[in-house]
Amino acid sequence: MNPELLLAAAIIAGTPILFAALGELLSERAGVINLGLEGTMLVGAVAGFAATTQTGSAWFGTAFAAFAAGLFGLLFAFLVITLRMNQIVTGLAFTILGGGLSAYLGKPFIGKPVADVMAKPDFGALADLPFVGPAFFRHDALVYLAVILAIAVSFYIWRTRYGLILRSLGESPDVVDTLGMNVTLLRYVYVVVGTAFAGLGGAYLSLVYTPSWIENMTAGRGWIALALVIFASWRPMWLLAGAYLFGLVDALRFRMQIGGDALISPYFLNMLPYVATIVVLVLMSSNRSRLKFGAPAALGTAYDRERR
Amino acid sequence: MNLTMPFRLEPVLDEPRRGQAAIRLAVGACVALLVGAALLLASGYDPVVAYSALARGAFGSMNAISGTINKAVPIGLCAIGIAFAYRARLWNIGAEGQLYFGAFGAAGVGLFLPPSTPPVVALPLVLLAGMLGGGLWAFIAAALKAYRGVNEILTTLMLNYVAILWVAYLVTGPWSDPLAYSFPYSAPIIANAQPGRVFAGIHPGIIVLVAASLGLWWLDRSSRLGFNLRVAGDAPRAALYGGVNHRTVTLVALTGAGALAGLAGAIEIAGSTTRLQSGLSPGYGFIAILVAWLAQGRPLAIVFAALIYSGLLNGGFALQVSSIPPATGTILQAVLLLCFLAAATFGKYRIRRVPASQGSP
Repeated sequence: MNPELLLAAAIIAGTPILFAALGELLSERAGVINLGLEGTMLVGAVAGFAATTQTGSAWFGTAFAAFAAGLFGLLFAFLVITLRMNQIVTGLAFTILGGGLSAYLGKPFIGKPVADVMAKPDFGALADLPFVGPAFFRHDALVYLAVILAIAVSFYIWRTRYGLILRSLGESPDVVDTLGMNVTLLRYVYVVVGTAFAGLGGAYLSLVYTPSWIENMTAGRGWIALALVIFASWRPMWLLAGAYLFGLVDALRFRMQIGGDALISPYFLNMLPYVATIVVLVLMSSNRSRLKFGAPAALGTAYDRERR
Repeated sequence: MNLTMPFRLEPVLDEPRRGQAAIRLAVGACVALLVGAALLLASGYDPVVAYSALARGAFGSMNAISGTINKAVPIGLCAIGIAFAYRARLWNIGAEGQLYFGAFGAAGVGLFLPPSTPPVVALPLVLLAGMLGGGLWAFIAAALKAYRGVNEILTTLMLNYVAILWVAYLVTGPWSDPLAYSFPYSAPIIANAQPGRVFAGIHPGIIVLVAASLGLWWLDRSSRLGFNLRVAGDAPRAALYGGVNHRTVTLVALTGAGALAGLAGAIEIAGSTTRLQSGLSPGYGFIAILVAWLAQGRPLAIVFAALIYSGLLNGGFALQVSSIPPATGTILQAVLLLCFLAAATFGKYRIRRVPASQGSP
């Protein structure tokens, strides 16, 4: 098949993963691991679809998806930050809760067509360029929003004062506390914004990628996004590249299933993101690279100012 | 910005009493049922009808009970393995994948044994192959943790999907049954490796679950291994000075957990499905983490919690008949779990009002 169309398909398949992984990155940089990503994306997907059906506006639906997923994340934040419940177990429970809630609320929308088509920005002459045009400049607006968000998050984390605070929040929250900043409030903000991003990923699936509401339509993309955050060693720009790489794997698998003349079983292609992530984890495990590329030191631990 | 809360959580230092824990769990269950009822009412269903359908589907008939017990076996076995690893403060998020890899091992033996192998040989071989498969899969994460310090939460999580996809590959490719009409199934394992249903639709796996639970109980009470695991998990420095080898503990804890999950996979094949298939487990390995946590790692409580959970799974299907979305069962599972977890938190902390003057130290 045409390489430019394959590239375009990779970008589209990578976009929902990119949204969700960016959100997870913010949350994990703040020290909170959210294993409920899959459920959060599903909440976003159903909320986005329902709101689009009600209002006839895909833009409103997308915004509502972020809002609903953020609300879902607010509950998660309350349980793991304020009540200090275990993040791993609570996250898994949220995967189940999100799956159940979305299936429950989405029942009336099964089999309905999406009410509005997401706008496509007009790049004029750029879109007519050979190869580059069809590969990069004929997508819907959300694809470009994801790219802009990734660049913005990267700038925020590495170049701003608040980004520095975010990084310390995951490495040693007691330092942030000593500086007079409110660890609890900051973690709340990043978890909620992070889940709102994951909601955008879900909305992309139900409004653009599929486009319709199907139960459990994320089909493991939340877990792939979790893998991607590690694969990119918590760096937004690597995340951007990694998302399209994983998207390419997804697109290739899809093409091969249709083509039928597979050189390699699509199941092995599907394993690639997970295997690659384990390889990256092993590569990061030497003492020197762990400091530079490893997970935030306080990841997964509740902050208790009386026990520091 | 000064955003102090008027309340704060204070750790409870005195040893909790047993009765209190039971009361908290009961309150948690009631809150969960009320939340579920509110949700049902809000969407126009009668909660009484829904809950009674759920209970009937879980425990209301011999058929329902046997289904609930059979489903509790893989959940419980995985949960006991997870609790075992957590004795050493190691997280096994990979029980789902280990279950699949155990099923792969079990099918690898069960499909290719000569059909005339006597049952006393065939069934133990299949179960052993399951433990080997699950143990091997967990050993990857265990070795990476022991020798390279790679976070076991992340590796066990990632390995899940590799194992699930590997089984999907086998049952649609090399091991697919030509007679299964393109269902993703392998052929059935030899009949002599299938124990059948011993009593009213219940397969003997429940015996294995109870045995495993007693085994963990014994390990805690009176074995050196159990002691070493706990010391290595709770007081790594003491373990170091006491001569407990941290690497060995890590390898044993995670591989043992994997072997139990693999055993669960083998039992699913020998007892329930009789063949390897994709979708073998609807997330038993993940539910097991929640069950192990709910039971706070106590061996006998795990069996009980696994039965409640599989009841909710089983009852969820029955809801469909009363035209209530089966997702209600899923939601109730999660809400119940969160309420129990919150109840446990209130056992560890008590809420104190913070006087205004003390708000911000």
